[in-house]
Amino acid sequence: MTPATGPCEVEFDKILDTVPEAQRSITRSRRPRPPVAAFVAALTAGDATAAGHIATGHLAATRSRLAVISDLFHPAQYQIGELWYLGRLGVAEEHRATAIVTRLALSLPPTPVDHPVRRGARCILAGLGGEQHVVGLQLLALVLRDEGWRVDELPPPTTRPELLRAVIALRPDVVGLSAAHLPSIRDISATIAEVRRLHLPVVVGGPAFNRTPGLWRTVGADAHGSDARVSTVLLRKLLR
Amino acid sequence: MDSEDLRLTIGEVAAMVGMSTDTIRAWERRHRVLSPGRTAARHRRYGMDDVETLRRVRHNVSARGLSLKLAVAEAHGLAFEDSAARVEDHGAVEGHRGTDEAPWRAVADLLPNIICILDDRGNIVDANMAFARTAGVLRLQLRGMRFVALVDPADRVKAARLYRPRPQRLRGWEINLRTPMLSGLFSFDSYVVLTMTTAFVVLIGRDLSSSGMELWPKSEATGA
Repeated sequence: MTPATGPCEVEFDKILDTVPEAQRSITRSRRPRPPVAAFVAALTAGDATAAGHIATGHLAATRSRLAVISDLFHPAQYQIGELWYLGRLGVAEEHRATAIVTRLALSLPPTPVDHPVRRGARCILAGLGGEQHVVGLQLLALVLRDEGWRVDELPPPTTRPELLRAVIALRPDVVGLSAAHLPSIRDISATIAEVRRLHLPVVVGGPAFNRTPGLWRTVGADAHGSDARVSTVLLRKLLR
Repeated sequence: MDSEDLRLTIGEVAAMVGMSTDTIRAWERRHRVLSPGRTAARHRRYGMDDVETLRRVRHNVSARGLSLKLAVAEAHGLAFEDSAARVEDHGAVEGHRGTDEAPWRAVADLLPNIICILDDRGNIVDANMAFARTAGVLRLQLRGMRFVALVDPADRVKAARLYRPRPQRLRGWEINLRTPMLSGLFSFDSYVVLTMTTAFVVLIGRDLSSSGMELWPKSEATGA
């Protein structure tokens, strides 16, 4: 068992190059089942190397950063959260698991899609209401770049004036906002209303909205991206 | 555009949930996972609720290893997930097993309702004290016993419907119990609880034979 210290040494690009094209097409058509249980086991044990090998294997099988993030990392993070809620995992172990996932995700090589969005499509991603947990936004930014978006991530915590200044200056096509918890619905609603007044669609996501069905409607957003896959399709539709 | 108004094609839904369009059509046909609307040209159109249902089914199947039937039942709210059992069954949490079920056992024992947990073959896995008293059998001896062995022979086929061909949610399922202690009519509500490997049926019953007393005027019942 290797402790989660030091840089992640998984070289995804090299591993991808070793998978023959014929095998890639076979694995693509079979849609390999993501090894979530093994990945969670590696994360809870703090075994970054094992987690890296599992992620690498799934990337080689799917050749899609979106598939690794949505089908492996996201369900694993969900299960880690469940274990924490049940008191079976400590805060330190949970943070260690998140750190491993973040490091692995950021080291995944780009896997551009065959049919990207139109040239120049641009979106802003930001946390809402002083949100500090932006791992989800970072992962979404990666897959949106694979889709051909130009993505501007605002560093946390983002205040309402900062967000509006960025929106006016960068003139994005869509704004994506995330929240893990919402201290004030009124503030968020006001922020979204101001963005929409600029005739820009707003997609919201994150645990606060996933926990409470319909909250996205209450705060006046245009859509709710419950995960990276859903968000990428919604952003494409809102771009039209 | 509001995502309330978003009508999604099957290709868009497939991209959202990470499945092929063929699989979505097959799940609709065989398991009635979704019932999409149709355009004038008979093309399928889905809403965001459909996407959430599919995501939930897919999560149940791929991440939790449930059978498709159980996954669909859970996604449609016809079965409950037992998150504690699910996590305990998970290989990742060896050594993290909790002992937090004891308080719930004590609560179940306080209730006047009879409560009994069956596996998917109709064997008794556990029961509360009210059930053990009704059956006239020590709780330990109940475990592993066939539930239908406590049922009046005329009602055994009806009793088996609770778990055969699969565990199912039923309301007010009236069964005559015949035990060494009593013979009486009971009304059961059944709940399906899913774990990683199997499904359980939780039966919560009340005695209809004695509930008639509650219909009597209070003054007569109490003699006041």
